[in-house]
Amino acid sequence: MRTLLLTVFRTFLILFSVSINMSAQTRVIISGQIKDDKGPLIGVNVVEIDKDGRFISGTTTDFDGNFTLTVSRRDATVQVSYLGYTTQVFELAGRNKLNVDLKEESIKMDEVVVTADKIGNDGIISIRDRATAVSRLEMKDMNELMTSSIEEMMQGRLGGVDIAAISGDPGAGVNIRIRGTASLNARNEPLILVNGIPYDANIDDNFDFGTADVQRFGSLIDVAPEDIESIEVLKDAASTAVWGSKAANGVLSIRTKRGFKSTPVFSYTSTITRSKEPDPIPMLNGYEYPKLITEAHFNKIRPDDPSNLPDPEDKNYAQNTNWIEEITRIAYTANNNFSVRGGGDKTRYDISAGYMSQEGTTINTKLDKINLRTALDYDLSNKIKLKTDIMFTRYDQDATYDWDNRDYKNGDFDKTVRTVAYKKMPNMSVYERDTADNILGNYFTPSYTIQGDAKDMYNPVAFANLGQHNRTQDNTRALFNIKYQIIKNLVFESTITMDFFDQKRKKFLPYKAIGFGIDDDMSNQASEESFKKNNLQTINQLYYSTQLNDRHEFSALLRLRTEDETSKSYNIKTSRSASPFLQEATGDVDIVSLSSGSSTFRSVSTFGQLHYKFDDKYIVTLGLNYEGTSKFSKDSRWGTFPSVSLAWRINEEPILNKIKAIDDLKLRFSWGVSGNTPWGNYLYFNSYAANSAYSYNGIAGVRPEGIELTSLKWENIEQINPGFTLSAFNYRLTLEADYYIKTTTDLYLDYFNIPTYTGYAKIAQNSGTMENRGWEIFTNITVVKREKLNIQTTFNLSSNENIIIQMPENYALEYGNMLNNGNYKISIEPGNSIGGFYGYKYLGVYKDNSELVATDINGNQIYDIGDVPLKMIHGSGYVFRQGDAKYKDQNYDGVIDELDLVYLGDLNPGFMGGFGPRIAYITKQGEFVVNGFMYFKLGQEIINKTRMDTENMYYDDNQSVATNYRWRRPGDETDMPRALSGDGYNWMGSDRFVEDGSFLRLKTMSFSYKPSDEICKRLRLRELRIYTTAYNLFTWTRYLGQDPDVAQPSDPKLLPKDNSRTPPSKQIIVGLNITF
Amino acid sequence: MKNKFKLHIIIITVGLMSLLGSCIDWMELEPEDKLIRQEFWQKKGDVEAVVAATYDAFRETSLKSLMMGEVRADMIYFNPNQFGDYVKIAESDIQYDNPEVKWEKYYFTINLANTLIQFMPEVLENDKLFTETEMQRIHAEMLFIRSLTYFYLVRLYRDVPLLLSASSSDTVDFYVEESDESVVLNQIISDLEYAETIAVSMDNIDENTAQFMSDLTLFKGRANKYSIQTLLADVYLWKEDYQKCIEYCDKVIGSNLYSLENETDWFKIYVPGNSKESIFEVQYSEANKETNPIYEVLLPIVGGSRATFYDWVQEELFLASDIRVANERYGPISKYTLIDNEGTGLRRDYSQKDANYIYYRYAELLLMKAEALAELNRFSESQELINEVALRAGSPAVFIDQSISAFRKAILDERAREFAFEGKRWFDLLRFAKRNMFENKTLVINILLSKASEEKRPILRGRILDPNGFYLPIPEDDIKYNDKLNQNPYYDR
Repeated sequence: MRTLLLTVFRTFLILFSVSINMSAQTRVIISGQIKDDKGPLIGVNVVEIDKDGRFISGTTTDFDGNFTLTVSRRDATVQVSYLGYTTQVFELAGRNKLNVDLKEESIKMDEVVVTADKIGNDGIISIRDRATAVSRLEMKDMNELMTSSIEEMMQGRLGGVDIAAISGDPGAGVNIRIRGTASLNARNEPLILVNGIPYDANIDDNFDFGTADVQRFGSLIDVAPEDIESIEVLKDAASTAVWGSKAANGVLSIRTKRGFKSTPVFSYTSTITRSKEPDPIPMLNGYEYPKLITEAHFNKIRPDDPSNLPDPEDKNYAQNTNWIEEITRIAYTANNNFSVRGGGDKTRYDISAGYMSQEGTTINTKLDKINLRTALDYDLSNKIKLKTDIMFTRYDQDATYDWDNRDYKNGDFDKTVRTVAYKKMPNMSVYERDTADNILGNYFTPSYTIQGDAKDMYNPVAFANLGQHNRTQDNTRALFNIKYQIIKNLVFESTITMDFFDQKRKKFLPYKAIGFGIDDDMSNQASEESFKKNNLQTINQLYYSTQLNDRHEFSALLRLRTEDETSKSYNIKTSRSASPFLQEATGDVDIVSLSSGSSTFRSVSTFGQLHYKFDDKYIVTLGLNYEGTSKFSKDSRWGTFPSVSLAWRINEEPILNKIKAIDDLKLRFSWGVSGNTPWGNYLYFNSYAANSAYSYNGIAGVRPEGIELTSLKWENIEQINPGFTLSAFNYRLTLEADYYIKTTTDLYLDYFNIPTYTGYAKIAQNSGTMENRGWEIFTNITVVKREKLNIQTTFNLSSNENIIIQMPENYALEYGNMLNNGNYKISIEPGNSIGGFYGYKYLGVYKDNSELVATDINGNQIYDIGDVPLKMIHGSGYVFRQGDAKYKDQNYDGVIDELDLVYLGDLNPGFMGGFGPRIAYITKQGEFVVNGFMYFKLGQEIINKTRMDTENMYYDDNQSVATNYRWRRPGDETDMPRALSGDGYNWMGSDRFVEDGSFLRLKTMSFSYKPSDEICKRLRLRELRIYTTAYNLFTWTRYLGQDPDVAQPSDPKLLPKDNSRTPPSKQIIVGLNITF
Repeated sequence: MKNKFKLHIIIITVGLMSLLGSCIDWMELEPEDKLIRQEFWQKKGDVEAVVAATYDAFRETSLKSLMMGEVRADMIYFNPNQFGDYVKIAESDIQYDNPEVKWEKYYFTINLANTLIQFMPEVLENDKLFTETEMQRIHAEMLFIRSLTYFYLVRLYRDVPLLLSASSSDTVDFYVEESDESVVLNQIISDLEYAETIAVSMDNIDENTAQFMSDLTLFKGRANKYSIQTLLADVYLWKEDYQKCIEYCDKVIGSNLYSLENETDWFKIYVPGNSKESIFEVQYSEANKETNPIYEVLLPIVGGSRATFYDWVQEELFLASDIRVANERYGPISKYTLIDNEGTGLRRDYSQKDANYIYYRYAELLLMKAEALAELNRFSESQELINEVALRAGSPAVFIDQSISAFRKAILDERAREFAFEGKRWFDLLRFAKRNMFENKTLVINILLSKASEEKRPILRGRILDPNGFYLPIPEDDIKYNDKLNQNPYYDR
C-alpha cells in the first residue's frame, strides 16, 4: 500500500514542479480607473495573470475606482473582475495606464446553469447526450420540502428504486434495491457515492456481530439534506460500468452543493418534527387475558380439578396495562443546519455544520447527529484545479437493549422490546404495588411468570428504561482531487478518497431489568464492540475530447482505479459485575465471550471509454472494465466487463424536425455486463483455525474450516435497456421510459448444500441464473406556467418481475417444516421468484363434529377399508377436533400435509411509484408553494407475523382483541379457531395471515411561504422561507398490521414477513430557512 | 511546448505502468486470523494439533454412539421432553429428516483423519524433527479412529459412503455411491491389519514412543497396537469370522498388558478411569474444564431423569450380590455418575463430570472370545471365560447347557450385566439377531415392537419383519443433495 501511495504522490510532485515555473523579470507599475455607466466602482479586482490564467499579482480599486499595480513585465496580461460584471482581460503591450468601463452581467452567477448542457454527476458526459438509464433528482425542485432524512424524501420519487425503512427507530437503516434483487447471496445493495467518495456503511459479513447492524443500522446516507444539490441513480450496466463491481447493483450518486463566486452567503435552517406512530393492533386487556389463558389450558388438558390449571393471576397481576402504549411516546426532533458559501476568482468554498437531535417513538431511544462538511475549490491556474472535500459525521444513538445479535442474523426479532410488549400479559403491573394498590416506585420484574423466564418475557418498560445500548459512530470522508489540463483537449485527473468508519457499541443490562438474582449469569451483562473500517481509493484518469468540425464530437477516457479496504473488530462480553453501576466490560467479572477479527480487501480496475457523437444525432459510447479483486484466487481473479450504449436523437431527422412541439426526442439503447463479488474475503482458501475448544489431552487442536473453493468466480449481471426520452412543448413535458432485462448468471450461492459425509454441509459456489425484468416511466408536466402561477406535476411508475431461470440440479433450497405451526415454505427453484412463499389454504373453523370427516372432490365422505368414515387428520397424526382451524385438503386424502401446499404470493410489489403536484403562487407578499406527493406499491403480499403472534392462542402470550371472537362451543360461526395451549395446528402457515400489502400513502404534504424580496430587504435578509411538511399523514390500505411498507429481508432466502418492529411514524415538521 | 507535452505523457505513462505492475501482487491477500493450508503442514506441532482436533472430534461422537447403542435396545428409555427425536427412533418411528439420524459428526471425524493421512507427509519434508516412524504411528492412530467410526456407521446404517481422502478442495468429487457393508468392513480390516504393523507397541519402544506406553492418558486415550487388535477382534466377530476373532483376542490377551480389576476395585474402571482393564477410552480432563456429556444424560434424578432403565434390568438381570448393580438406590445406570459405589451419592460438582468414556476394556475382550468360541462349539473354553467375568463381579459361576442357544443367551446376558448402559446393548442384540442371515431376527423384532407406541405397533408389526428396518435411513441432507445414493429400502416409500 505504501508504495502505491508514494507513487501517486510522486506523480503529483512532478506535475507541480513542471507546471509552476515562475520567473522574475523587470517590474512595471501601471495605474488607472475602473467604472461603470453610473460612476467609479469600489473594490474591483485587478490582477496580472500569466498565459495559463494563474494569478501573479493583484490589487483592488479604492473609493474613486483608482488602482495601482506592479506587473512583472511590460507586455503583461491584466484581468479586471467584479461581482455581477463581465470579467475583462487586457494585454498591456507597453501601456502603463488602464481605464476600464465594466459592463453589468445579464444573469446572476448562480443561475448560469442551462439544463440542456448540464454535465452529469460523473463529470464527463452531458445529461442531454446520455444514452443510459439514469434518474436524477434536483434538490432545488424540492427545496420547499423539509426533511431530516434523505431516504424519506426519495421514497417513490425514483422509478425502479425501492427504498424501505427497516424500522422506524432513530438511526435504523434502510433497504435500497435498484431494479430488484439480482443476487442470492452476494451484495444487493447499491453503491452510494457522495461527491465520488464511495460510501459503504455496511459492516462486513466476516464479523458476526456486525451483521446485526446491517439489519438495524443499515446504510444511512449521512449527508445533511440541506447540503445536497442533486441525486442521480445509475441503473443500467452501461452507466455503472465506470464504478466497477461494487456498482453491480446500481449507483446512488449524491452531489453536494459547492461554493460559487459571490460574497459570503449565510444560510440557516431550523426545523422541529413531531412524530407519532400509526395505531397498533388492539390487544386484550387485563380482564380478557386471564379468561383466554384459562380456556386455552383447559382445552388442552381438560383437568377434572380446575385448580390444576395454571393461574394467570397473582397479587401484582390484577392490573390493566397496555404495554405497547407504555413503551410508545410522541417524539420530537430538532434539526439545525448552518452553512456559508461563497468565493472569488480563485477559490470557492462551501462550509456547513448541522446538528440533529432526534427522539424515537419507543421510549429511551434517541439519535444525535453532527454533520460537518467543507468543500473547497481552488484554481491554481486555468490549467490546474484543486478540489478537496472533507465530511465528518458523528452518530450517538441510544437503542433498546437486545439479547444476542445472532437472533437478528436469523431474521428473528422475537425478543425485541416491541415484540415482548405485544406478548406481555396485560394484567401485570408496570410497577410494584403494595396490598393497598399503591405504586412503590420499583419496576415489577418477577424473574418468572406463567409466560416463562424473564429472559424471554421481561417487563418491557423496565427493560427499555434500564437496559442500555449505545452506539457511537464516526464517519470521516475526505477527497482530494487535482485536475491538470495538459493540452487543450487532454485532462489528467487524480483523485484520492478516504472513508473512515469507526463504530463502538456498548450494552449493559442491570440485573434489575429482568429481575434475575445478581449472581445469575444473565445479570449485569456488559458488552463492548468496536468496528473500524478504512476504505482508500485512488482514481487516476486521462480524458481527451475533441470536436473535429461541427459534426464530429469525440472523447476518450482511460481510468485506473484502486481500492483498499481494511476492517478490524473486537468484541467482549462479561457478566456478573458486582454492581449495576460497574458497566464497563472489564475488571474482575466473568468473561462470556471475547473475540476479534480483521479482514482486508483490495481491487484494481482499469476502465476505458470511447464516446462519439455525430451531427448531434447519433451517439455511441463504448466501455470496457477490466477488474481484479483479492476475493478470488489467481485463476479467476480478473473479469472483463464490456458495455455499449447508443442514442439516436430522432427529432433532428428531417421528418420530425418540422414538428415544433418536440424539443428533444432521443431513443436510447444500452447493453452491458457487470460483475458482482461475494461479501466475504479469503473464501477460496482451505483455512485452518485453532481453538482451545478442540484440544485433547492438553494439546490445543487445529482443524480445517472450509474447503478450498477453486471454482469461485465473478457473478455476472448482464443488462439490456432500451428506452426513450422526450421533451416537448418548450420543455413543459418530459417523458422518460425504460425497459430492462437483467440476467444474473453464475449466481453466487454461499449455502450450496453438499452431502454431509464430506465433513461439511455447505460450500459456496457459482451456479444458476436469475432474471429481473421490468419497466419504468417517468413524466414531469408543467401544467400552468404563468407569471404568478406555476403548476407542475410529476408521475412515475415502475414494475419489476423476478424469476429464477436455472438452478444447479442438486441445489434444492427449501425452508420451513410445513408440518409445524407458524411456518411458510420458501422454495428457490426455477420458475419461482425470490420472496415467494407457499402455505395452506385456510377455510375457517370446524364448527362442530359433523365437519371433521374427510371428503372427496365431490364432497362425499371417504371410508376406510373397513367402512369406517375417515377423519381429518394432520400429517403428524393429530386428529382434528371441533373448533380447530380448517385447511383445504387439496388432494382429498383426509390428511393435511405438505401435499396440500399452494403458492400464496410474494412480497415483490407488482407496481410501485409516486405522483404529486407542485403549485407555486406568487403574489406581492411573496411566493406560496404547495407540494404534495403520493407514494404507492401495488400487489405485494405480506406475511403478517405480528398478527400470527397475536392470534395463535398457543402460548401464554397476550393476544389481539380479534381473539374475542374465537370458537368456544359447537355451532359457533367464526373464523377464529378455539384457544388451545401448546397443542394442535391452529396457526399453520396459511393464507389466513397473508395480507394484501398494497397501499397508497400521502408521503409528503408541504406548504411553504417565501416573503417577497421587498419584505426580505426590510428584514435585512437575502431570503426567508417558512415551511411546514407532513410525512406519512395518511395511508390507504387493507393491510391490518401497523405499516404495509415492509422492507425486503436483507437475505433473500429469508421469509418476507412483518415482525413488529417500530413502524415509520407520521411526522409533522415546521421550520424556517434564512439566507443572509 | 512540444517537449513539455511529451514529458508529461512520459511521466503519466510511467506512473500508470508502475501502478499497474505493483497491483498484481498487491491483491495477493491472506487471512490474518486463520492459517491457510499452503502455509500449514510445516512443523511437527502442526501434525500434533490436528491429531488433537481429530481425537476431539471423535470424542464429540461418543455421546451419539452411546445413545445409539441404547436407544432402540431393551434396557433404557429416554425422557421424551429432552430427547423427543431419540424417542421417535426408540419407537421405530424413524423419518430420514429426524435430526438425530444425522451422521455428520461421524463423517466430520473421518474427514479429519483423512486430512491427516493425506497431508502429513508434507511435514516429513519440511520438518526434520518429524520422523518416518512418528508419522507411521500417527497414521496407525488415524486408521484406528477412521475404522472405529466406520464400524459405528456400518452397524447403524449398514451401507454407507466410503470416503478415504480429505474433502479439502471443491475439485474433489463429492458425489459418490454408498458402499456395501462388506466393502466397508473389508476396508476396515485391511486398514487395521496394516495399522497393526506400524502402530506403537511394546515391541518397538524408542525414545519418542516410550511415553506412549507409560503415560496412561496416552496409553489408554490414544490408539496403539493393542486397541487396534481389539477393534479387529470386534470387527471379525461382527463379520462372523470367529477363528480370526479368537486369534486377535489372543494377541491382546497374550500381551499381558491388561487384566481384570479386582472386585473391590471394580468402580475404578469408571472413576477415575484408565484402569488396568481399559484398552481404549476417550479422555476428559478436569484441568481443561472438559465435561463428559454422558454424565448429564445418565444422571439419575428421582422423578426427573433424562434416562431411566426398565424394571426388568434390576429385577431380573442382576442378582443383588452383583457388584455391577453399582448402587442400590440409583441402580446400575449410575456408574458414570456416582462418587463411589458405597452409597455416598452422586457427583454434583462441575469439576466431577470429567469421567472418560470407555470404548473397549479387557472384560469385553474375554466375552468376545467366549462368544467366538461358543459359535465354534468350544463350549467349555467359552464357559471358563464367561465365568471369569461373572465371578469378578461377585456373581456366582454360571452353568450353561451345552447348547449353542443356551450359550448365546448366557453371553448376551453376561454382556448386558457387564456393559450395562455403556452403549453396547443394541449392537449386541443386532449381532446376535443378524448371525447366519438374520436367523434370530425375532430377538430384535420383539424388542422393537414392545417399544413402539400403541398406535403404531400394528403397522410396525407388518413392516419390521424386513431387517432393513433395524438400520437407520440415510440422513436427509445426504439423500437430498446426492442423487447417486440409494435410500435404505425400508424407508424408501
